[in-house]
Parts: sequence; structure tokens; C-alpha cells
Amino acid sequence: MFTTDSTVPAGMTRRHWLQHLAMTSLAIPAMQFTRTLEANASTLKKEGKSCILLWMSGGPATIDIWDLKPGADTGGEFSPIKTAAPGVEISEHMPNVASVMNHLAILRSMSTVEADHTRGTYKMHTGYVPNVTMQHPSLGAVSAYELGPKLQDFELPHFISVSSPGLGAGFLGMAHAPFVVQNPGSPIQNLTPPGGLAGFRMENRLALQKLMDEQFIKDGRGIAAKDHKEVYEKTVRMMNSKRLDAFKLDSEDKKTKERYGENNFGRGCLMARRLVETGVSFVEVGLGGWDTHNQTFTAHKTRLQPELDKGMGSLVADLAERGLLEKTLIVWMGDFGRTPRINQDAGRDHWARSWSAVIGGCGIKGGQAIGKTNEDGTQVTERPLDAPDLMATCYKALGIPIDRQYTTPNGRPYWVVDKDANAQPIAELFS
Amino acid sequence: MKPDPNDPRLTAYALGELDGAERDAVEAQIKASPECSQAVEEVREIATLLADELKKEPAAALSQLDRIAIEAEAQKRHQRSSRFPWIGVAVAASVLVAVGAYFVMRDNPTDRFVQNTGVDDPAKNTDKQKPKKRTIAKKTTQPADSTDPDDSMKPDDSVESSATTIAESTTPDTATDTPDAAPAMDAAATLASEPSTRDNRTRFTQIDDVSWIDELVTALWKDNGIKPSAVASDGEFIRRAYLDIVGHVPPAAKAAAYIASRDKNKKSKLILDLVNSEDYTKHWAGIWSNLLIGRQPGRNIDGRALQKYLRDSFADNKPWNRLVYELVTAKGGSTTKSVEAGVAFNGATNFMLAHMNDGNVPATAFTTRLFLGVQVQCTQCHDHPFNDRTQEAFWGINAFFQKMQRQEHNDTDDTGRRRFLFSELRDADVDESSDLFVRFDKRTGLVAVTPPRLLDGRRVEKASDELNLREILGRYITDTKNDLFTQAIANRMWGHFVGRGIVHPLDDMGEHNPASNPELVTKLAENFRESNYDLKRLITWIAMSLPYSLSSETNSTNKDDDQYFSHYPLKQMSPDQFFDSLIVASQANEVGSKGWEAAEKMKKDLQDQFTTVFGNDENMEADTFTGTIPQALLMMNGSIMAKAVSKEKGSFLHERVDEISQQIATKKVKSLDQAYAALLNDLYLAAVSRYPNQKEKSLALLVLNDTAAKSKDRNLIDAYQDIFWALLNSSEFVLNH
Repeated sequence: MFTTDSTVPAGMTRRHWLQHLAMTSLAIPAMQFTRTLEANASTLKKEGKSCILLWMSGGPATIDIWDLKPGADTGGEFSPIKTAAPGVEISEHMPNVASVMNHLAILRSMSTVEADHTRGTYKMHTGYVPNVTMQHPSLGAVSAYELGPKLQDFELPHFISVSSPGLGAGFLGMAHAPFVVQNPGSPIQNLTPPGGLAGFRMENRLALQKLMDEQFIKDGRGIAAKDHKEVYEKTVRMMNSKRLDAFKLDSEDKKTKERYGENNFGRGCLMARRLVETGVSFVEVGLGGWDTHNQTFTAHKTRLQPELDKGMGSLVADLAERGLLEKTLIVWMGDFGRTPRINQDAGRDHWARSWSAVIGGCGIKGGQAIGKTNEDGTQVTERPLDAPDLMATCYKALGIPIDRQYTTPNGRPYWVVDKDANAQPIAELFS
Repeated sequence: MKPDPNDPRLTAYALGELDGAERDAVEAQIKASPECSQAVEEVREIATLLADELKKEPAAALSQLDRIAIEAEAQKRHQRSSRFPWIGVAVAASVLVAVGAYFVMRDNPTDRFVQNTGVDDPAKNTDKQKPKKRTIAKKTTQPADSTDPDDSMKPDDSVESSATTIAESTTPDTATDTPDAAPAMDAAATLASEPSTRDNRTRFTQIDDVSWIDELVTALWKDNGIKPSAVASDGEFIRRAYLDIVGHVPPAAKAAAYIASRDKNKKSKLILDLVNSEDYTKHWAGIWSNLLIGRQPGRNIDGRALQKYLRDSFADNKPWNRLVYELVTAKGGSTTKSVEAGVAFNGATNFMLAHMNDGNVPATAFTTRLFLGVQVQCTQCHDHPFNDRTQEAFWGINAFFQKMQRQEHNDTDDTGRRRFLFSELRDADVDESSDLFVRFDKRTGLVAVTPPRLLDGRRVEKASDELNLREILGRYITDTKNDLFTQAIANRMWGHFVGRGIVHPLDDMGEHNPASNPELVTKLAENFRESNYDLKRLITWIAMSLPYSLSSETNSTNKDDDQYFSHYPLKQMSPDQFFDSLIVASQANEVGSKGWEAAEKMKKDLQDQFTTVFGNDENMEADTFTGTIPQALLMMNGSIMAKAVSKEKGSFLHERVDEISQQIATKKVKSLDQAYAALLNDLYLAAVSRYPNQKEKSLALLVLNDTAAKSKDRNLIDAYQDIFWALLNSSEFVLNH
């Protein structure tokens, strides 16, 4: 308990001294609206593990990217090229990724049943099929929920979604929904007060609001009031945080920006690197347009694969160069794959029976391909894998126990990996 | 010896440093003297504040405002006076001069703030009037028997006649839930006929005695040793009544009038005005639309058509059993385009249409959960772990939907692209030879079958000509003997108002989850049934009841009570309530706008921004404020807040400044003191439906002083913007309390 005997000035009662102290050092910390929160240098660096999910919305034709079938009548127009992983070949339009293939593993035997966009997206994000009894949280929400709180003094959101709608807090609630950034490189929406507002006015606003909230809390009405205050304090800390620089790309040199690609996805990958560098636990970066029911090869050749190649290849290389790859898990996937059969519009249609995903970083043994499909790519012949297996692998790499259980608000048990699926982390990926 | 508040032993006592005889002596002294008691409290408070503070990270330098606030606070405690703090007086004098100068200046036509002084263009006035139509207590002017084309939603006469040919129930089987124990009596033969409707747009005026609610609630307080909280203040009551009944806070003028009114019946008049207002129908149509199809229903679902159907139903005060019957059995076209194709338009069809995927599994889940308050969807895949329900329960209900069919109607536009027109919802023809069984997988891997089966075990074993399964399900659900149905809605409505269902969660009723007050839910349900399922009456009973009138401030006996309704809980506003309240309080959508339509468009734009950030698909009951950083950012820095606290013409702030300036000119406001206080009152009334207390008035003065000192153009209205900003961002605004 607080005591001040030794320092009371002569002639003053302790009671007055306490009041004097209160007057000078108390109790209403100013909500300074300047960047005065100096995080010290070491805490600005990355501590825990992170994950970057590259989400290919629309269902990418993985048979033309990761598991080509030249010679088969389903083979299509592209040829395979060698990569930095011995024995593993990928599309000729992905040379940058080919050069970092030693860090990545291709899972060629994904077989996930759901060939509908909504269901496929849901399943690949959560490891579960949609179910009327609960809204499952996604890989991102669970990772952020588990890993985020381990960080000290971290003012940014733990789950950030770039150019992607950001599915996925489920029953964990809105507070764990991703923070969405639509245009990487442009200023974040609403991060600063309207232009022209003098600093002292923002301070007054925040101080007033804080005092109002404190009074309301003192009335003893319920915890919602405290939670409201905490959300605002978290937000102001974020507004003041030096880590916000991670959202800005202007400090990167021109060469780097060109390396990643001057497009939305490239900038998103560059931002993702900066975000995990400063410690964000989960970043999802979206690249859309993969739903190529017609003219699939043109779309892949002219835009999709070049953008993917530069962004993904640079990201993996950059993370490796900076020594961040050991703590950063990379996952590449989409809602489902596409038909080996080429349709009458020179396109491919939805196909979940046999497709590829890619995983690397965070201790995963790269430079290999897991599982096989047959000659024309219509069937998985070895090591079939489903979404829960992928989830289990990701959680293991991130250090999250795969039997972790939560309870939903209406009392149902939920496991981060579907118990009924008997899924296991893919052993070949771990040493 | 006269007790001396400055006795150092008091300080020592307050800090817990005394024991034994000395402590006893001091305690006696405190008991004898209120001044000593006060001094001890003071010391304790300060010590706690200091201790808390020292625990936190070092604060940055205090701003000028904080220093003034601290000194004022400390002085106030020391003096125990209700005057302005000493520093406040000196400040107030100079500030009031400045404020006064400002108000006087405002009448000067060259003042850049004012666009038009003096004569108002009558045309402009009507523009200003139109948006105000949105505010409350406007009587609907539609005649009772409208010739509304939506008459197509009236009960189909042909259906009515066939219903009467089915035998009236003798004594139906008791409503037990043990599956297969009850004999398989024919469901169709033993159900009452479908509920009747009522087109009624006359003003609802019935106020009943609700002591029966109060007695049942009070009894449990006594049993549990709980003392209820005090009754809420008038401002608190009108605010919550508005929020719960019509979905937004009261306009400032309404709040002021209610607080000032000496009418003994003001409460019942308020409730009646609210349930008769247009905003009532919009609010409840919105609530039920979200419950029925969510905020983002799938492709080709016409949410607006469903909302229109619901609004008409609530405006008619359609009996609840009739409304549910119509939703479950709806047939026809989902959009107005169906009329051209010769298919009757029925907005209600959008409910079932939204849930027909996956073999009608969602339709089964939503119907049982929303209308019967039971979690049957758990038994889709396995027998329920906590109660007696088995998979038959789920699939038996699912079987009633098996003949439901949808047909999409499209055309092609000028470029040859296919364009969706409407979905037609109908039931396939059934005759004697039809198979009525559905198949489902048991966990053992075996496939089981069930015919359509109600939750009490009654089945439809045999098909017949013209059999309509959905109508049978509808009649079962809305049967006056179906207690699940009546209790579910009574419980849900109670939970909406009082903050928590008598059974909690709302949609998990059953033996495994007993009601906190079984007699209350039973009686509420019975009376609701007796009223012929009159929603406005149910709402009025709850709104006039004692539990609904209590403050949310808890006392030592009830601070942990969350099931006996001994205090109002803190409730989160829904995104719609939040947005509408912002608009009502600030008129943000009228800022700089030219006319009603522009204002409505602005409102829609702002709302889209808002729901992107605040929309939440699951209508989850949340005890905590589930705020996110993007929401806080939007509220703090977004354009909607900029408009809300704007000084520009159209905003609430501008309007009040304008009016007060005119009142100064006409001497209706007699002093600058009054003007300043009036504006502050207006902001508080608009945001939190009450008047500022002494402390808040002092704080406002401090902000004014600070602004006067630091603002480059000495525009003191800036200070009011900042105060309004703080109010609209406070938890008191955003929470329903």
C-alpha cells in the first residue's frame, strides 16, 4: 500500500501532501496525439512466429502451375522447367518461384471434394465444411488468437488481410476479424483525423471521451463499458504506433518495388513482408481472377502467373535473405483446382478431386513434392491430402497444438483441426 | 475533543497503517463525524488513483487541459462546494465574454459561418422539414382497408376452404418429445386449421395492467435476496424505449419534453406513440429480416422484397402466428418482376428461398430455431447429447420441406446475357402414390428413413391428393396448443427488451436449459396467446413492466445478477441502431445537402461504409462490447463522424447555434451564460438524452478555455464540435443502458 511518510514537507499534513501529489502526478494520462510511444529498437523486431497466406480466389488451375502434364491431352499449353529443388518441375511462367523452390514443398495430392466457390473458400480457410451449427474460425483467426497475445507491446492488429475480403473470425467474434487493407501502399482508411484538425483538439477530444467513459464505468453498470474503453485505447495506441510504418511502402527502394511487381498483389506481398517483419502474426494476401472458365492459358500467361511469380518469388527470396523465413510460414492455395479436361472455350472448370497447394518456411522441409497424381492429372495416386491435413501441418509449424479445443458461445466443442477427419501433420515436411 | 478532519491518524487509518486500539479509536471517531468519514474516503480515493497510476507506464507530459482538470478536481474535493471551481470562475468570465462576442457576431451577415440570416426562404424551409419526417410520433395515415396491391399476401381463399375440410382436432396427442413413444397419429387430421389474419392500420391504444409481470419477477428477487436497482431516470428511460422499440435514440427535443413533462401518464403515451410510428415497422422489419436471411443473403434473394413484406405485416400488426404461417408456407414469385410473368408476387418467399440449399437443411434449422426456440439442427448428424432428441427430430421436420421447389425465371438482355428475373417457389403436386420418406445417415453408417414427423411424434404417414406438407408444418408450428411456439416468441421479445431471455440462450429452450423464471415465461406466453398473438400488446406489456424501468447501475446485492432482471443490462446497439442514432443525433446526412432526396442518398452512402465495418452476420447476443479497431477508426476519424460534428448548414450543431443566435437577438435568451449552457444542453440531450451534470459543465468550460487560448481563429464553436465528438464516441452513446 502506498505510503509517503518520509517525504512529507514540514508543516503539511499527510492528507494535504497526498492531494498535492495527486495534483501534480496523477491520474488522467494525456492522450497525446503525437508519435510519442517510443518502442525500443529490439521490440520492433520480430519475436514470435508468423504466417503469410497467399490466397488465390476463384480456384487456380494448379495443373498449369505446379503439376504439369506435358504430353497428356489434358496437358495444355505450358511446358515445365527445372527448379532449385532437384526433381521438381513447375510452369515455365514461374521462373522466380522456381529459383526459390528449395524453400517450398508442393502438395500435389490435394483432394478436397468442395468445388463450389463459397464452400471451397470456407473449407480451405477453416478446415471444415459449412455447417448450420457454428461459424468456424479460419486459419488466420485461430493463428492470430493463439500467437498474438504472446507478443509484448504490440499495437497493430494480429490478423491483417490485404486485397482479400478477410473471411474468418467465426464464433470468436468481430474482435478477431481481420483488419482489411484494400489498396496496399495507399494510406490506410481512417487512420488519421480529418485534415486540418489541430493536434490540441484531438487531444481534447480524446481526453474528454476518456473522462466520460471513466465516469460511466464508475457507475458500475457492466463490463461492456470497460471493453469499449479498451478498444479505443488499443486504437489510439495503434494510431500512435511506430509500427504503422509497416503499412507504408515508400521507404522501400525502387528496385525492391519493381522486383515484387508494381501491381496490387506485388505491393501486397511487399507489405506482408514488412508486416511480419514487425511482428504481425497472420497476413493474408489475395490475388483474384483465377476462375478461368474460358481462355485460361491466355489469362495465366499474360497476367496471373507473371504477377504471382514476381510477388511470391520475391517474397520468399526476401524473407530468406533477411533471415525471417525460419519464423514465417508461407501457404499458397485457392478454393479448389481446375479440371484436367480443357473445355470448349479453352478454359478449365471447377475441380477439387486432384490439385496442388504449396507450403514452406517455419521449419518446413522445402525442395520436395509430396503426393502424386496420375498421367493426365485426373486422380490422386499417392498420399491423398484433405484440408484438415493441411491445417494440422500449419498449426504444427506455428507451434499451436493440433488438439487445441475451444467452446462456442452456445456450448459446442470446437477443435482447431477437425477431430472426425483423423488428420495428421504431413510427416515428410518436418525433420 | 472535537473530531478534526485534519487529524493525521485519519490519513494513517485510510492507508491501512493502524491496528489494535488505535484503529478502534479512530473508527469510533469516524462514525461520530461525517467530516472525518469524508476525509478518509478522500484519502483512500486519491491513494488508489495514485497507486493505479504508478502501475501504468510513465505518462507523457500532461497537456494544459489535464493540469487544469486535475487542479479543478482536487479543489472541488477539498471544498465540497457546488460552485464552479475557483479557476473555473476566472476562466468562465473571460470565456463567456468570448462566447458572447461570438454569438453576437453571428448575427452579422458578414460572418463567414452563417449562410443565410434573417429571412428564410419558405422553399428552403420545406426542404428542412422533409427530413424531419423521419422523427417519431407521426401517425400513419393509411386507411384501415387499403387497396394495397400487396393484398396478394392475404390468405388465399382456396387454401382456406380446403383447410376447413380437414377434421378439427379431437384431443390431439400430448405434446411430448419422446420420439416414437407417441402413437403415429395422423398429423394432418389432428391439427387446428391455419391462423387467420387481420388487416389493421388503426392506431394501437391498449394499455394493460402488468402487475402480473412485476409480481412474478419480484417474487424471485425476494427468494434470492436481491434488491433491485433504482428506477432509471426519465432520460435513461426514453432513450432505451426509443432504441428498443424504434431503433434509434430520441431527438433532443423529444428527450427534453419527456424529461420536463409532469403528465402522470407520460410513460404509456410514449410507448403508444412509439409502437404506432413508422420507424417501428422499419426497425422490426430490419430485425426480422436479419434473423430470417442475414445481412448478406445469397444470390437472387430479394432482401428488400422480404423487408417490404415484413414492414407491411408489422404496420398491420398482423398476428404473429399468421405471420409465421405465411413465412413457412409462402408460394409465389420472389421479386415484383413475377407479376409480368403471371406469377403472384410474394416477398415472403425469399425466406425459404434463402435456405433451400443442401436438401433444405438450413430451412429446417432456421424454422425450428427461430419459431420454436429449439436447437434441432444439432441432431442433423447425431442424437442430441443433452436432451432426448434424436436424429428423427431433425429429419422428421426436414421431410416437410421435401416437396418445396424453386424455379428460376430468367430472360436475356440486349447483349444476350442471361438476366435473373425472379424465383418461383411452389410445392410439387402430391397424390396418393407419392413417397414421403427422407433418408439420412446415422452415425453407425446405416441409412435410416423417416416420414414427415412433428416434434411431438405425430407423423404424416400417407400421401393424398392435394396434400401440402408445408401447410401442415405451418399449422403445427402456429397451433395455439403449441407451447414451444408461444414461449419462443415471448421469450425472445422479453430478451430483446430486458437484455436476456428468461430462457438463455433464446433459441435453446428445453429441459436441459431451464428458464430462470418458469412461471414468467409461461404466463407471458399464455397472455400473448390470449391476445391473439398481438405483438404490439406484448411489447407494451414488457415496456411498461417494472424490470424494464430499472437503472443499469447495480448495487451490492445485484451486481452479479444476470438472470433475475433486477437491473437493466448494458446492451450493445446493433449496427442499424448505431447508425440511425448517429443520424438522428447529428443529422449527418443533411450536411451540405440540397433537399430530401440528396439527404437520403447521402444516408445510404454513409450507411454502406458503416455496415462494411460494423456489419456482423450472426445476430449473436454479446455481453461485451465487441468493438474492433476498424470500427473505432471509423468512428474517430471517418467521414461520417466529420459530418456528424460538422458546423456546416444542415448539421444539428449548426441548427442549434443558429437558433440560439436568433434567440439572443430576440432576447428570448437573456444572457451569454444561458446561451452557452443551452448549447451544451442540446448536445447532451441529442447524444445521451440527459442534461450535463456539474462536473461535465466544468469540463466543458475547460475545453472552451483551452480552445480560446490555442485556436488560431478563435472560433469557439470548435470546442463544441470537440465536446460533441467526445459524446458520440463515448460508451454512454454507443451502449443502450
